[in-house]
Amino acid sequence: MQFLSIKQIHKQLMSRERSSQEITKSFLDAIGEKDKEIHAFLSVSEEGAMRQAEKIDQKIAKGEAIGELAGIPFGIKDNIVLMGFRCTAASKILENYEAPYDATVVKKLKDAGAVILGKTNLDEFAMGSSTENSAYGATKNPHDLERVPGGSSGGSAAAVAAEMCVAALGSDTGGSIRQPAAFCGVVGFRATYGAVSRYGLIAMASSLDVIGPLARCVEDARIIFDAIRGKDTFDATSIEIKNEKLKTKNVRIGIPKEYFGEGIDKDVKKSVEGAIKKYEENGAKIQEISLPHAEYGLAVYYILMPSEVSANLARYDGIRYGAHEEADSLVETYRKTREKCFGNEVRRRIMLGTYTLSSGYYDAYYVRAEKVRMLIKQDFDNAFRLVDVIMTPVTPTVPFRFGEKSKDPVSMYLSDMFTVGANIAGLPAISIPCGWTLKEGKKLPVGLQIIGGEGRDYDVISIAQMFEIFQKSS
Amino acid sequence: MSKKISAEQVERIADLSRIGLSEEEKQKFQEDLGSVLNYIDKLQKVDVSGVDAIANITGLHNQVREDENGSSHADSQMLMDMAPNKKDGYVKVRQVLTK
Repeated sequence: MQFLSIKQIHKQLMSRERSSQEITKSFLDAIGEKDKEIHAFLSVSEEGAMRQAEKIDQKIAKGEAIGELAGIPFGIKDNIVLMGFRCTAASKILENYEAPYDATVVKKLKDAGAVILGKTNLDEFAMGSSTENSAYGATKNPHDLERVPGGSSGGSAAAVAAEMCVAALGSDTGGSIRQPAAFCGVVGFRATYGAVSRYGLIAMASSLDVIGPLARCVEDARIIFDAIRGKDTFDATSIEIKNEKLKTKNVRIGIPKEYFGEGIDKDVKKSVEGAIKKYEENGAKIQEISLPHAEYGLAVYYILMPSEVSANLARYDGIRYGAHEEADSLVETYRKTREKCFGNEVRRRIMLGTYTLSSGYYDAYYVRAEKVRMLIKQDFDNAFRLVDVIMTPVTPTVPFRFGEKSKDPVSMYLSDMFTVGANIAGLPAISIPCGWTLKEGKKLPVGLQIIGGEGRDYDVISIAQMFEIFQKSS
Repeated sequence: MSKKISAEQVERIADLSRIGLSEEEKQKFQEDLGSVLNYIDKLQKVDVSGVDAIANITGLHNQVREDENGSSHADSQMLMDMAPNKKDGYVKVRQVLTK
């Protein structure tokens, strides 16, 4: 691996080996060179980025202290608002929307001196697993341009993988950080629900949404998580993660048998099992566990998420902001605007959620799903009495080809089968690259998922970091 | 596969969702929604007797703060400028009530 980590770039800046402006320019040049093909960015702010880099250089020149994130070039998923910047959520309905404020995570990155290069592509309103649902065209996987980068944070993952930024922010509702991280061979971390403020994240499913970093190594992801986390008065669901102690000794790893059954590509399985073996060889205790309700995770997800989507997306009415289609009556204005400016998947989920919440169906679908959600959480609680973390594949397959799953919504939904559990139970989980497989002459990455107990975010991070150490020493 | 959801139901949901659909789309959405509903039906097999529904996963309850005046994060002119139709400092909409 030839990439420069946040700490290495920081060292270059401090020793004046390279200036922030030189570093920023090199990433902007990389975007100019590669992004015509990959299409990871929806918008780029050269001027803003260079201005920020200049400020950092001035600070260094004056001998002022700068933090680790100062001068680090970032991409921000285009469903997180950045003041004065277009924020589209990859939807036609927000084509001309310019954000009037900064998301808390953006404010924290700016305060830390980060250089924001631009906004990255996603499935419309973060609904999808491939970025094929973006109204502005799909992003391509840098490892094989004929394959998807995953989604919904596919732009962020591809931008980091193709070294068009050092790190990026994404959002994860059912796997939208971890699945593209696995498909693009980078690290993706979603924290415990509420650990990172969502103020300024365009809401998809509020009981599941989490913002998190995509980066080239676990340490970078940790540095970013340290900077963006914390309770925020503007997000009533936010919480403080207290335990910061890193766990690296006497690690107990649970392997849920339900995650290694049918439907997994054999190369994916082999890579993940090989990674777990590495932990065992280095002294970790491996134990088979059971998550008996895991098989219902995706069904719970496809009730709760669309229900919340139908409520959250009711605000796009073509009246106060965004696209507007003129019609004869107010209600026709709504209908026409939403028909013309929402894509198929978004309309499908709004309608599904409207149905599951409608009178006569609410108890059978929504309430029942919330009860099964409790059972899934209890399964995890029971498992974390026995083990520190749980390890699984991130995805059942390697990155698929464009169009391969876009005809049948259920087949696309199945690519989230291993990731939704953490969202449903609100748990921290990370995706790290754990191996490569050869498919039709192309080397494609495989991801290992490490899930931790509620609030055990730093256990997940430190145990993930152990794997990088094993790889360096072998 | 039996139709999980009728064409009339699709129309009714589209109406509740304030989403316009073409005739062609009605049929497409009837199939799509049907296949997802078939999939999520597997929850009917789970025994949930005596189980409480989860409201907030981390167990947080109402978060309150002092009701103090503060300034908005967003500039009101910037917000107004985003509305597609305006008149005299108001957002303009079509007539809501009809005679």
